[in-house]
Amino acid sequence: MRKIKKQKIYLLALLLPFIMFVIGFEIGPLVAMIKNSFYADDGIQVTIDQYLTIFKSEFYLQAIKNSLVISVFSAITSVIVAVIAAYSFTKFSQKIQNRLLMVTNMTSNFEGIPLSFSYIILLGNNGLFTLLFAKIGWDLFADFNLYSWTGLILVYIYFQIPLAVMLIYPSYQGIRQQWKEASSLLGGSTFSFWLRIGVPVLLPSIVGTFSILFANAMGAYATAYALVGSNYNILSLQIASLVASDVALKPQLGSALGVLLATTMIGAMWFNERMMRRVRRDLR
Amino acid sequence: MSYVTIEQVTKGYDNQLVLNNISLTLKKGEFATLLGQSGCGKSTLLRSIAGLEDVDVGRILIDGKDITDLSPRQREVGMVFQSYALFPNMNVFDNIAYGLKMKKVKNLKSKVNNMIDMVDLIGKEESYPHQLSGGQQQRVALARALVMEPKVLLLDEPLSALDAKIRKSLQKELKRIQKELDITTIFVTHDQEEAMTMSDRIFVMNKGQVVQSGSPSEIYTSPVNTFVAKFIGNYNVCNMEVFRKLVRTTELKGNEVAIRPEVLQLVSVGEDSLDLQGNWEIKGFVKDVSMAGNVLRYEVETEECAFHVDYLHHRGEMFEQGARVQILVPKKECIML
Amino acid sequence: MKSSLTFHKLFVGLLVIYLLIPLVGTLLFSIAGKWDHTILPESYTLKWYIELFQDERFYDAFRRTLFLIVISVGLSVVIMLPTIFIITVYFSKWEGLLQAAAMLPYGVPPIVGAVGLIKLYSAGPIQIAGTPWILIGAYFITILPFMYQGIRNSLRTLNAVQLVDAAELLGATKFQAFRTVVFPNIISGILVSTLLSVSLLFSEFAFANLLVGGRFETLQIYLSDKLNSSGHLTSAIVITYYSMILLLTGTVLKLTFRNKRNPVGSK
Repeated sequence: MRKIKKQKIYLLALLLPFIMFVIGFEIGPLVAMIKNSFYADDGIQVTIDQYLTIFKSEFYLQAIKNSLVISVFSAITSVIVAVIAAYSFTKFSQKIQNRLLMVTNMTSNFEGIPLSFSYIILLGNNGLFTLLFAKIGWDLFADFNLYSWTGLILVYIYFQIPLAVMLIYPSYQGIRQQWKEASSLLGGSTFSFWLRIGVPVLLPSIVGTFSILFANAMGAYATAYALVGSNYNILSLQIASLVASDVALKPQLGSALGVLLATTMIGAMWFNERMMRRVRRDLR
Repeated sequence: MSYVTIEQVTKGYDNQLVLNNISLTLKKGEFATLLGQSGCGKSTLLRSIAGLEDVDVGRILIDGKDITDLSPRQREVGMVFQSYALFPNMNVFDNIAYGLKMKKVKNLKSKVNNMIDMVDLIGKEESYPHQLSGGQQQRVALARALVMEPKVLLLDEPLSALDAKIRKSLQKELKRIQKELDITTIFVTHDQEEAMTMSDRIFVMNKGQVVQSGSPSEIYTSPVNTFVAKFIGNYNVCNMEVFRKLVRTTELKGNEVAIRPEVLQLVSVGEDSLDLQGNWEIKGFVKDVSMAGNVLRYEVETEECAFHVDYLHHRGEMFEQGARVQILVPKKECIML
Repeated sequence: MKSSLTFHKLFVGLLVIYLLIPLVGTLLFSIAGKWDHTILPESYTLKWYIELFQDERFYDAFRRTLFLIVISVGLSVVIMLPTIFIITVYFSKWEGLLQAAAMLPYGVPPIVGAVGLIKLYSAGPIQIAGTPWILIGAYFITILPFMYQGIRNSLRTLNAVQLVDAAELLGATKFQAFRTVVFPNIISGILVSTLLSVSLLFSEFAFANLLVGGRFETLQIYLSDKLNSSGHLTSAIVITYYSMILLLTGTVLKLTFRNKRNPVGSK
């Protein structure tokens, strides 16, 4: 018995590098951030002032609100598009379905700086489309400004849609042809099948996908940074400028905002996990 | 003399005893079976012998040597797993040769080929596990364990994943190989019929304890308690008070009586038994008749409880459903528990 | 029925066009000579690519990115493989803990992670903020969920615990069992998560910008710096970069498909 124990200690030693990385670069920074958020600007006095500042400041509340609005809006739009698109996918032959999935998979990698750049050359001030539309004389686009809220939402929706399609598509695979046949044998119409069976089965995965997209947009930094720099007031850009810019560093305040952002995101992820558990149970 | 000795082995997981003070011994060359329902501890005991589980208390000896603290690779035991655990990246030859390679054995090729011959897999040397049928995979797993010439062969429900026909033929073959090599074997199964056909000795386990051990016929004809009676032979088990009332006697002792279904006889009402001294009679009617191949199984309802009666299915009189009958119960076949 | 199929065709067609337009636009822009008032470019040229491939800065940035990726993905494989193996095989009661640690990065975006990392490493005993070393640590954590899921799933489908038991009973040591029986069977699964991680780190900007910035110019930093200079040249960078990503994901898809069809390689 002693021999077996000795062997286990030797195995435990092999786990040390992993434990060091997790403490040094995952748990450590999180703890440091949480701790730092409870200090005053001087870094000495323990206080909850940073949180009070945030909730009293119209500026930071606006940043939180903007982030929430853009995340919810882009997530809802993408989920709706994805629900229809994934259903449409299932109407094609397996070969075409694979092609379509490949296109979504490939475009899902087109995000961040390169994506923003693409939009700039297409729809920016001197963008191809901007110039083209001006020439044709479409007034609709005359007021369009890519470096604004609308532009930001447009780009966010672009990178959310492929992700949403890839997350929702598999749950359509879970709806078996046999269920539809059983439902119609029992006298149900197509409509009543979707109402009573299809949608309830899909719902957890739709809600779960929504929460992932929401978190994805809340945490997005590169896209916004490239598109609007610090011109637009959203949470991730504010945190960045508080902890890593050249002017006005306020790491304690940045930490407090970081804690709020992380809480929101972990909450969304936790919610998704619960939803996926239901999906797995239903589709067993 | 005893070749495998297990002394007071006990093991628990979070406050629950999986193995409760188990002691048993095996002779060299014996084919022993650990029989019981899932969760009775039989697989845990087997894995403890292999060294894949630690025991909390007790000792395990093989050939006089205490192996309790040895690692699996030092124990010189071979094992066949329920799902075979063949190495998917190696072909049949390499799977069987694996252990010999680890031991750096010379003339490995001839040993492996002999083994392939023994388990009847000639021509499949180059095949990979996923190209083989379940029965063939099972043979590879057996050959892989046997080629090491282990002191004890451990078989963890090795046949349970196969369909009935292949199962029967592999049972025979396994037994043949075991006799040929005269290898001490411990077999784990939940199937009492399989245990009966294969074993020299059976250990019936329940709730982490060995409840009865003996030869197949000992276990079958004289179960020591209700659990074994019900588990082993589809015994009719009847409350003793009820039974006394049915046969109008006071000479029986014990709490329950167990009677095998094939010792009972049915006669039409009115027909007298030839041997009233040796038999009791119980009145009843045939509630159901079902046929399981060569056996006719009657379910006979009496005043107090129902009895199963098994008949070999040969030509002759057959009782219809609803027929009034008398059950003849041979007195000496009643086992008091 | 027929009219509804038309709807599906139309919808999917529009979606595909919508998704491809930015890519096609950028591609055209990168090979366009003169293009300002027509739908398609008036002339084509490769000079932007030639210019790009003569830019030392581009090569340097590419080399730096490659350096970061090789070190952090390499470290991750070397560390995660034994860690996950040991925990699933010998300490299965800690599996929940491992999973929690491995999945946490999903809930902590780089922007949040950077806040704590800057605090922790800009003062005190280990001052590595602003150096590539802090990025390697951060990237190790970034790819943790992918490496973890890839390796764990491979071990599960293989039923690694039982194979190791079998090998040990046949006289192999734990290390031999791992090397001869487990490793050859999970290598293609690991390859998939490795390539996924590589392509993920290729596109990583947030950590690079916040932790190190211009002091160690990676491909993404270089790109963001070029955003405001010549559009044609930047298009060429984007297309070059995206082709690499496509190559990586293409390989991943191919491998995944092959693994699915043929769970454990026959040859």
